Amino acid sequence: MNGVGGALDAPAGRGSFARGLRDFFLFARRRPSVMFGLVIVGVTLFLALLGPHVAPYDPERAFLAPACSRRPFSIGWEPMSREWTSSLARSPPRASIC
Amino acid sequence: MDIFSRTISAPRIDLLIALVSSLIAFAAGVVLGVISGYFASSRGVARFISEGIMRCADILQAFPVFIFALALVGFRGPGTGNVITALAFLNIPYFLRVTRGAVFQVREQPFIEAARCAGNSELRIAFVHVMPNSAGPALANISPGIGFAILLTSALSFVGAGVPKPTPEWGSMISIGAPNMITGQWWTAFFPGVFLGLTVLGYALCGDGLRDYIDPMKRR
Repeated sequence: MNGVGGALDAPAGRGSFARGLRDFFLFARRRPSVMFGLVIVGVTLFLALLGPHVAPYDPERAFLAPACSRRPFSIGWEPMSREWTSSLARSPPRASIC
Repeated sequence: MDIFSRTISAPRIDLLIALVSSLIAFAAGVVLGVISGYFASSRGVARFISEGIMRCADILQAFPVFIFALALVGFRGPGTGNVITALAFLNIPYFLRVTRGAVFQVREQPFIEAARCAGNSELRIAFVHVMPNSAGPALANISPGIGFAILLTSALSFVGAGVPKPTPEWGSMISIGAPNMITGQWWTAFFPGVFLGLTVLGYALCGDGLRDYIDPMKRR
């Protein structure tokens, strides 16, 4: 401390980054919304680092016949690689407005 | 292409763009905010520079953000580097204004007077004593800034001006999948949209938490 009663001290301490991080986590534990946000941020950081390695398929590869694959896709597939016969059979009849 | 694989691979490119652009904007905004705030009441060239920085920020903020981002990316061409540059450029005024407001409070503190009395130059006081003590509010704004950058990246990719198309990115996935919702293939656009919304919400909530953590009145 310097000066009279610490008046000349700079208010922002130069504490360690780790201590600040730990204090923030303790603070976040009392606030569910902040904790929820931290979980989402953690998940996105995890996916950013390891997402392409965790993904079951190459994200940029188009599969021409996914219906014949032994491992069906988890959610679905997009038009570039969908199974056209089933999609045509399921789609309702449409009238052109042109 | 597998939607699940693309959805969980997309954060890599989205987060890369958002993090890098936000950090560049934070660094530039804090430095410019300290200069414009600390020298706002001085005379001569320093005052001219301070006012010039603020008028440039006014000009940047006069345009709608998305239109300006679209124009910048359109000018330089689509690509990851150009999106990062455009977003960093657009986010600088937000960090600048927040830091400038904090500098106005910090520069009146007794320790600044003490530093001046000890013979420090004005530039040294601004960057060694004022800047570390006024960067807190801008630091708290990084998290919502990242969320905003992710949203803007996806919006640019949605209209075809952002990340080129085979690359997994939530905005371009929504753009590819949106026309298929009418034929019942809702999952192609739904899951990237859900992930995008949750990510932006998460960063906004973290930003709120950081702001409350930095504010000593709300911290208790």
